[in-house]
Amino acid sequence: MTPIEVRYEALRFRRIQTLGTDSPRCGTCGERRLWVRYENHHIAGRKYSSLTICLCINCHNEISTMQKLLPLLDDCPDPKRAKLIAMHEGHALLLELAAAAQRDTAEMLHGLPTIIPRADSEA
Amino acid sequence: MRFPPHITTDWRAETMPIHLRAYSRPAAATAPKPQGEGRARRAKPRPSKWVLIFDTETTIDPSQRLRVLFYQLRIGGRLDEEAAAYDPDVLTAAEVATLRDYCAARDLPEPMTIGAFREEVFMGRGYDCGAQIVGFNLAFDLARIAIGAGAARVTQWRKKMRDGFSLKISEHRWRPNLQVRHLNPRATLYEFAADGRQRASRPDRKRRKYVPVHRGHFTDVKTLAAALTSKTHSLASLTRALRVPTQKVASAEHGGPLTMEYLDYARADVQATWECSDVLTKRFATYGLGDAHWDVLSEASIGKATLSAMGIQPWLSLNPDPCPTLLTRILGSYFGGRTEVRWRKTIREVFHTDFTSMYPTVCTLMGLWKFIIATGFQTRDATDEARDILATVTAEDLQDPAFWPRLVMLVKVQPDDDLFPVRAGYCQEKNATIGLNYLTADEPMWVTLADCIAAKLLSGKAPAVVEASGFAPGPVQPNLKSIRLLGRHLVDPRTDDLFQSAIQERIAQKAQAKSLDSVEREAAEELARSLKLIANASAYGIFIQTNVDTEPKPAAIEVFEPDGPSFEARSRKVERPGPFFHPLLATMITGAARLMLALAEHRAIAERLDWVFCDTDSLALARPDNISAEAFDAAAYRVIGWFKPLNPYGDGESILKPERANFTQNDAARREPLYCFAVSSKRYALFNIGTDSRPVIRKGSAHGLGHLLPPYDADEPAPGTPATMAEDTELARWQHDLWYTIIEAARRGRPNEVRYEFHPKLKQPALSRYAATSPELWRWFASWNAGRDYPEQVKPFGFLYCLHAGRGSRGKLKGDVRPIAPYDVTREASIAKGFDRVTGDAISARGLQTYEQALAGYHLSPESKFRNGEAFDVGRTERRHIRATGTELIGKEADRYEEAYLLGLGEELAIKHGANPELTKGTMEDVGGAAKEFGDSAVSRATGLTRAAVAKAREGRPLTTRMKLARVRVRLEALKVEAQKATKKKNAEIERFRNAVREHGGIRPAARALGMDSSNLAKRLLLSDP
Repeated sequence: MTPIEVRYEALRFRRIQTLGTDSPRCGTCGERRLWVRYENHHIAGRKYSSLTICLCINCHNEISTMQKLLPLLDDCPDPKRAKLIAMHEGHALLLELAAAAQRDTAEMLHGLPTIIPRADSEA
Repeated sequence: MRFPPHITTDWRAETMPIHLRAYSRPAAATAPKPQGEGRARRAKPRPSKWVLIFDTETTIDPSQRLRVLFYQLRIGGRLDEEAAAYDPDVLTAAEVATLRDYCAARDLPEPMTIGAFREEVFMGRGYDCGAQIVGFNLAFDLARIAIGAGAARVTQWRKKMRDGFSLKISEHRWRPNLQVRHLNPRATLYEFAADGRQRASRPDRKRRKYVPVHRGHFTDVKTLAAALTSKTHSLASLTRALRVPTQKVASAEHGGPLTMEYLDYARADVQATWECSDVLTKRFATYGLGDAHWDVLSEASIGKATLSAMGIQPWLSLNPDPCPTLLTRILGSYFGGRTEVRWRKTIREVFHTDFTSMYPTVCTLMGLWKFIIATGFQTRDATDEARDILATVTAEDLQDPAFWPRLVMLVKVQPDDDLFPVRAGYCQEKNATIGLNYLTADEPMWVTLADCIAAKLLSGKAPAVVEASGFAPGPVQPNLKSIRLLGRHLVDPRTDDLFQSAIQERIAQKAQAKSLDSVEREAAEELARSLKLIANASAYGIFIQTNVDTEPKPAAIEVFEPDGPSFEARSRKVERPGPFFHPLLATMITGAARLMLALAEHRAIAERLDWVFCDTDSLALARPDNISAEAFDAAAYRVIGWFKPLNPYGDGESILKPERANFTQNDAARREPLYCFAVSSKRYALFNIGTDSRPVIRKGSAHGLGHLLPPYDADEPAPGTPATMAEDTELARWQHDLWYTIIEAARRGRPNEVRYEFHPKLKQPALSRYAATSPELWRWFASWNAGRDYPEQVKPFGFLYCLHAGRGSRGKLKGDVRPIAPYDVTREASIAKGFDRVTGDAISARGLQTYEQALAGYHLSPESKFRNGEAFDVGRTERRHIRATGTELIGKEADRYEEAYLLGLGEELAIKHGANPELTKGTMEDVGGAAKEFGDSAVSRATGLTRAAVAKAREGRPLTTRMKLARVRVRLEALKVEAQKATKKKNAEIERFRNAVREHGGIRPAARALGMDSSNLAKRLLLSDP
């Protein structure tokens, strides 16, 4: 192995240690690349639950912004109900984002040129 | 009281304190604080696909310094790089040239210096790339490549490396040190310390995101092999056992100039290590326990992993706060296996038997699997049930497997000359041993029901039950999973008993192996061995595992009493329960195993047989003088056959089996008279008488000999001993010759007169080889290492020799001398460098014990737990009758046993908590009363207390110093007995004087007749007149 390959392996191993896994995955867009930044997203917001999901940094930014636009639950008299609402809203946001990602992929596939199989590959 | 005829009533009760195990935990004030929130534990990351295998060759002087090493870097098993490294300060220019030539000739890269190996290979790839680091006896090699060493640092949260070393591998400050901790001769812990760099980025740190320290993945092939084969191997023996393509060959060239052959040998070691590691890793994979073989430290690791693979959660994790009093009661009833000698130093013809997988068998019979898969256990009052059972139980009841689940019970008894396992320091021995003896105590104590039944069967008297607690398993744990044992036999934990399934499958494999050809037979036998390992590893040890943290300063611990309040004691040794700690199972298993042995003894007595020794799961039945050999065999087989109904494995065989040694060496079906000569527990030899009327040793014990380095090799047997040994003897040649000499002395009718001069080499100083496995041992070489750089020092895990100081006669070492010597080319060179490890002063070889002297008392080893078991006693030992004068609570019985035993550290092995200080009040009142009666000086002399303490006790003031309660009680008792004797003697004398005066009609004539002065006589009579 060349010194550059060794260096790459060292960085890769360090990255795996930081992530805690060698197969990271964004919970909405399905991003899998090792070098992308991943973060833990509090589904119902940090205030209401400690339940998290791993998201890539782009999806996390997007969903956190959308979460901030949700109506405030501070005035809700029942804290348990507030928690449930926040959890459902959080899940809905995740599903919306996942649906948007699926739609983007479908549109991208529409826009791709048609693949014509080569004659020799059929043989 | 009625005794059966085999129990003598010629006895006198002896008084002594008994030891009971107790539960202890760190006092609330000293318990470690919980770590901060937000640090959720992550699973340990897996190693990368890289594997680094290396092996070092060293000089053979005391420093054992690195000369050359070979390493291999593999990616997923494929060899990617192989090269050599050397220490330029050690090799001569010519040797470096030889190494270069060798590398060129073998198509290897140019050799690198050890510094480059450390930075580029070990740290650059091993650490940075997360490689798995593989070696055989890795600790030794790691200490050779290190550039410095010290004691590992521990924190209050992370103590696992206490008593370990911290090895400095890299010159760079940010590079981590490597921590190594020796656990036992088979297992060592390795891990990297935290490095000097930030592991998490600043944003992650702000979010309190925790990135765990990279601890590395180390595979010590020696440890893995010991866990998977249940044997301690050298690399040579392991390559032979695993039949790998590269076999290790012996080299006589260590320390000599580097040659091509020697370098071939060194390089082959790395290949052999890899091949062994590969075979063992694949074998581990067949267990279906994942691939984390680097976490395996012993057979127990496999047991724990098997239970975890079934989704079984440990009892302690489901019940994190168990009742400490109940734990102390359970632990108080816990004793290990029975090891005893009945006929001492007497040659007896025997039939040696042992139980099939004793612990898994009793687990299955008692239905303990249900406790293992349960969320907990329930307790019920079972006093009446226990009384009923003890009133009516017979040996025949125990032949019914349905009876055994009823034994899961603890009984509080009032011992009144009842036969129980008694743990005590017999004959003032420092370390307590356990003997089945007749016990009387003022205080009730907790024992297992199995022990009560054994007492009734063997003595004819059932103990008096005060109360009893029965135990029943709680609800079954959720999320249990089925597993395939070794990828074959499906075991569902909800419906199947793991132990029963494993042993059944083992029996099936063994039966199948007989009809297979050699290759398939070997595979089937290997499978059977693995199944046995799984059953044994999951059946007992893990349930009583207690880890001991040795604190730098005495820490406060809370000790719980079986029937009273807890008290605080201070100790450097703090106990921590192991992950699968479940003392109820441990005490039930060992109790039932002792009952099984008691049943065998009971059946032997019923068949009018005797026995010579027993050891946990084996019993050597002895042939009485008045029966023929055929009748003896028939009776022995009747004893064996009695246990058939208890077989839970469905193969129709008895669980008690004849040992192989009962039969001829060549034919496993033909009986040959087998004789036994036993000295003390675990010290015995079994032998046949050969055609030339000489003993042929079939099996012998190396107990108490293993610490000594062989004084001579196998190819130079002692004059007068057989040239060859029996094939199945597992003894070293010198051990064989020792037993041969002992047996021959006994055959001459002089078992106490053994002359250890059977080989000329026994006149050399006795050596025990060990290694500097802890910083404490390494410090012994502080004076030797002073002024030397690390490469020149005796290093961690370097070999050392313990010598033995002779005492007494002229020319011998005087005082408390602890001689040691560093490793060297020859024994003589080592001994010449010997010094006192305390003062650092050089010692003379003249003052050292020779092998003859070190072995001198071996044939006299006492069996102190019994009467007629002292050094020169010969014949039948008798059970003692003991009156307990007090109870001393203890913790783990043998912490660091190996170190203390091998090195003769003279430490008390058990962790002693003493007695509750509250209880000392009563004793102090007794001391005060005795002081008023006999005077302060007499009581002080007798009890060992200071005169000031006795005076305080007399005046009723509180005592501030801690005292050994049991010792004071015993000595006070002795003082009272002596005082009574003296009074009796004095009264008898006065009576004699009075009679003389009456007889002779006056004081003067009486004094003349008695030969004493008349005024003295008058004074004595006057003073005695009330």
